[in-house]
Amino acid sequence: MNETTIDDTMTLSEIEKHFDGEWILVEDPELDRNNEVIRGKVLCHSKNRDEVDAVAMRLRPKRSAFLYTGSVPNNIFINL
Amino acid sequence: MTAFNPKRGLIIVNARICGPLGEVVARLALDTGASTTVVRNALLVVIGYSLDNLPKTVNFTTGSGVEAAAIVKVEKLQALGLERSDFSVIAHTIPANAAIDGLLGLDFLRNHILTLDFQNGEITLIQVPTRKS
Repeated sequence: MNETTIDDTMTLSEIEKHFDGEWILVEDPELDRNNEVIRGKVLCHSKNRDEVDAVAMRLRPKRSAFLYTGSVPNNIFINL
Repeated sequence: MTAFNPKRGLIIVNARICGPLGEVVARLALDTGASTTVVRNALLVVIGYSLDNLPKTVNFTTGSGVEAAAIVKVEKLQALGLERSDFSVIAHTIPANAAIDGLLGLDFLRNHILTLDFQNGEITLIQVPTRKS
């Protein structure tokens, strides 16, 4: 798990380029009308979702968004 | 109108969920097979809800069995251009490999017209016009 010290905001395309296949916690996201993140500050990123949850629950950002830059593997079928 | 990938995978909707200490954007799978909206426990904690002492008052039936779960009334849930206030959701530990933060269920969609256009990858949710008697 990686907590970042990046102070600058990153655009969604920059986030996707830097953190491929990871969960990302973004603080103060700028959103479009469909709640898609346009840009924001990356607080942490990890391939392990539980680690990102732990950081989010510790820091409790007032405004945040969870992003996932991977895809569901073809051998996983979701039926909750 | 909201876009989705009609070729594969789940229909993911970005939902803005507000609580007493903040707000979070979550990835919810649009699920017309779910009677109730479900949100990952951790997200509810982040926006200010304490789940520790919450009684598990509902039986949550999944493909793998029946579990007891807690209900949390969030201040707002906004998605697909619709905002609902004081909206009850089931708090659940969604499996990490599901790549989602929960399910957007029928309770959110009721009294609206949902259109899923798999030809063009578009979702629209519009309010039903009030009928004049």
